[in-house]
Amino acid sequence: MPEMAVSESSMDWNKTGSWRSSTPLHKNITPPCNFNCPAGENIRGYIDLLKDKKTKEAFELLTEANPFPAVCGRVCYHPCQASCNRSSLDREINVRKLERFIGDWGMENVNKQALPPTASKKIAIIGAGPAGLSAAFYLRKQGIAVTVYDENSMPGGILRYGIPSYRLEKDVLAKELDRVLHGIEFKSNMRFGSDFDISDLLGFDAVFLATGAHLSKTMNIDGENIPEVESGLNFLKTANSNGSGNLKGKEVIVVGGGNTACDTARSAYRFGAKVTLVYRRTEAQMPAFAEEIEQLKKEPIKIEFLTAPKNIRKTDGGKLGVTFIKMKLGLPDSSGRSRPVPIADSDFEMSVDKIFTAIGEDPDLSFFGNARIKTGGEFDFSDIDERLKARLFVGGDILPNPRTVPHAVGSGRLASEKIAAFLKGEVLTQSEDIEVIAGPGDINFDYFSMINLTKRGSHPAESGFANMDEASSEAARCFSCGVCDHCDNCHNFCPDMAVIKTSNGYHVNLEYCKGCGICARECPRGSLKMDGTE
Amino acid sequence: MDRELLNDNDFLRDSGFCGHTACPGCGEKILLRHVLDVLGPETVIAAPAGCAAVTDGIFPHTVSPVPFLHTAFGAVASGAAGVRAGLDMSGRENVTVLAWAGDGATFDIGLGPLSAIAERNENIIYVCYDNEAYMNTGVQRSSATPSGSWTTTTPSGRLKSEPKKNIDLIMASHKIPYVATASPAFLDDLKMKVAKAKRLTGFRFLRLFSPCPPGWKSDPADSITLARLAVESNIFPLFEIEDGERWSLSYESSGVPVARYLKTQGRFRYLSDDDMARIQRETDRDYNRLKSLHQYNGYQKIVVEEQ
Ligand SMILES: Cc1cc2nc3c(=O)[nH]c(=O)nc-3n(C[C@H](O)[C@H](O)[C@H](O)COP(=O)(O)OP(=O)(O)OC[C@H]3O[C@@H](n4cnc5c(N)ncnc54)[C@H](O)[C@@H]3O)c2cc1C
Ligand SMILES: Cc1ncc(C[n+]2csc(CCOP(=O)(O)OP(=O)(O)O)c2C)c(N)n1
Ligand code: SF4
Ligand code: SF4
Ligand SMILES: [Mg+2]
Repeated sequence: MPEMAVSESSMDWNKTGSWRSSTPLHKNITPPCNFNCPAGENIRGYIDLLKDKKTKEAFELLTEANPFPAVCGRVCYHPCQASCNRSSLDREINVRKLERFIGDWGMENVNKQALPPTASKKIAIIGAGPAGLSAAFYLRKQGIAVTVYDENSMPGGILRYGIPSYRLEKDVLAKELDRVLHGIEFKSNMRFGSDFDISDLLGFDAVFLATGAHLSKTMNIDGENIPEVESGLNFLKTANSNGSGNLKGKEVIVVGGGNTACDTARSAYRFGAKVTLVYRRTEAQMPAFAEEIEQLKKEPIKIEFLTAPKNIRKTDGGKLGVTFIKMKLGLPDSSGRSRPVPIADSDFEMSVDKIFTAIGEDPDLSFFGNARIKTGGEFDFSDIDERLKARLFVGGDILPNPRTVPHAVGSGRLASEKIAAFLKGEVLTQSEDIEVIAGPGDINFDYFSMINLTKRGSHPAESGFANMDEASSEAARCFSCGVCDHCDNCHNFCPDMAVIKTSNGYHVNLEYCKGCGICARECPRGSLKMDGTE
Repeated sequence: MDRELLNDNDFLRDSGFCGHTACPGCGEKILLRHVLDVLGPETVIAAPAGCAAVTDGIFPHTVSPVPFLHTAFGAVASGAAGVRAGLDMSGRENVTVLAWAGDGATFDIGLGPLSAIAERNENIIYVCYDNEAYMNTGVQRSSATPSGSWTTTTPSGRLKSEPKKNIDLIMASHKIPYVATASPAFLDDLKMKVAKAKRLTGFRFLRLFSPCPPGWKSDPADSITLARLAVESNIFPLFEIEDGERWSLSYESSGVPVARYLKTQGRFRYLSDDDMARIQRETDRDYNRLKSLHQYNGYQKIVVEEQ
């Protein structure tokens, strides 16, 4: 054999990292669904679990933020879905149905969650709506004893007495409330201000006030006090309490454009009434959720936009005579919506049997005398009894947040955190970090479009998934925006094998990374980026 | 597909594949690490002059985790066959011999020996990493360079006008057991094909798409993206030919316009819209022929009984 030159040592000494002008960095950013969930759910996280059919784990993760998945899977307006990046490709992930699937699983499979024993601290909560009960749930989970007071005979607040059963089945609500209230003392028919007062609260270490917004706004027109003119909220409460409310053949007017107005109109129609909804602006300005408006329009309910009642009288035949005036849109008002302005000489008459008003609700804080919400949206504690003031926390619909179930849940959970900190003599500090949200620009659509094109279309709002396979295949459509799902692309595509897999993710070996940028380009979800430094 | 195939063998991870001198974003090195991952440590590489040979290491150093024999530019097929003969004679039939050659070495200068070794159905796997020009010597045209491409020997004004040579058809004409194309953007498919080649015996030929940022004037970060576009636009279809006769497409592309692929690279920047339309027509024609050959299975092996 002739002699041959042989290389026997490695190239390890050649630190090609010195070639690099830009450095890859693995860093998860916030998925838009998570960011937009008012309850603060880790939506991306539980979808990931559902994809692998881990429903129990998904339920546990979801209920870390929201104790009401079955309720919210039905009545939440799902801003998460509206912000879903997948809508840039075909159609957003149906988070509503996935949440409902998890909630329904919970109803079947979880009745009593294990709880730690209670320690010496005691909390009183006034108001058993979603805000009060969320606070109660998370406080009790930490071993803090909770007593919830409500003026009604049953818990649930608007969930029970406002939202009609055709949108939220009463047995679903009952089951979910049962689980949430496990280990919590509930005192029914106790109205704060009349059945009990501040002196009854002195034995508690802190008090959370979540009495909602139940004072219907008045129209300030003549005839408003005639008994046949009733608040929509009141009507819904009666209807939801005993299912009564026979309106067969009656002509009914509902005034307003919010959720209460829609639910009132749709409920009245279900009780046999001939319903006309009048709203002083146009559909575009209706404060009700878009889905609600969609459903409303599908029903045989007449809608008169740009119309407002001017006065109401009782006529001889026992009917109500109502004078309306037509409106037109003027310049924007403080809410940013165009102000409706009356059109001169546009009056017209109608004769009806009943009028339901639903033009908005205010919190009833009469038990505190002058206590008010300050213009900035903060609660004004200044007039409140000194013995309570320092221990009082407020949340839910009392505050001028958007008034929705998930906001109430988020507000209640935040209160539980503030109270837990307060009990330790601390003040809850919130992270000042600016969250980076994963937008469509962070998604490498090649990994989704070329592989998995599906038809465009919208999701039907009602009903759930038929089975686990349906739910998990919907979950599998999720991009996992901004959050590494260990797809291995960065590791696999590195020409220099500089992206190393570790037990909990990936590590870039900067001694050798040449900074070509393939890894970041091929990350399907924006959780790896070139940071441009070095 | 089998997830296992995508997990690096320990031998590769421990061998220190780092420190090689390939350019940032080089396709050849992505291909090599995944091919070796499937073939495993019982492999010997033979490589001719070209980027693969040069960037493997600086004498006396190498990143190769397995023996790596440098051969003359035109002689890799013969060199690999020689290694095979030597291994077989010393009773090591189990060792895989891998010829690892550029397109210049395969389509042009080494074509004679390649044909001879294929015709004798020597028991080796021959991989052509196709970067469509003589890259190591500074981007000269080869017969693998696509028409319309800029190279230093086909400068603007005299862009390459001849079509790319159909080497796959040439190799299939040898009736060898396996011919396949694969792309680094489709690693599942690539690794499956390497595994299949490994299971077969005789001459196996794989042509792998190998992006070259400096030669193609593309962004190094784009190497995989443009490799994917090459497949999706049918510029580089993924297929297999068994026994020279059974054709099958491996992947149904989405058929994106070729212009999307062409625009990722500076070497195509002199093309007019008309040129791109022509390339689109040629691509469609070639892809349609491939589709008609898909699942064509007219071949029956006739076994000659020895007296
Ligand atoms: C008709 C209607 C439909 C709606 N539909 C939807 C929907 O589909 N989706 C959605 O997200 N949101 C919807 N909302 C909004 C949502 O229901 C509320 O934002 C949410 O319920 C607020 O929760 P909360 O706990 O703050 O108050 P509430 O749910 O109002 O609960 C407060 C509780 O406190 C009790 N209470 C009040 N005063 C006292 C007192 N002095 N002493 C003792 N108890 C007292 C009340 O009776 C009530 O039980 C709807 C609202 C209405 C009115
Ligand atoms: C006989 C001979 N002629 C010319 C050369 C110079 N040479 C070295 S590498 C190379 C180009 C190789 O091109 P290709 O096979 O496509 O591999 P690539 O560099 O593109 O990876 C040439 C021409 C040589 N080494 N030997
Ligand atoms: S694709 Fe998934 S992670 Fe991204 S926004 Fe939609 S639900 Fe959230
Ligand atoms: S010139 Fe091209 S083929 Fe050669 S090492 Fe660089 S990128 Fe790879
Ligand atoms: Mg070449």
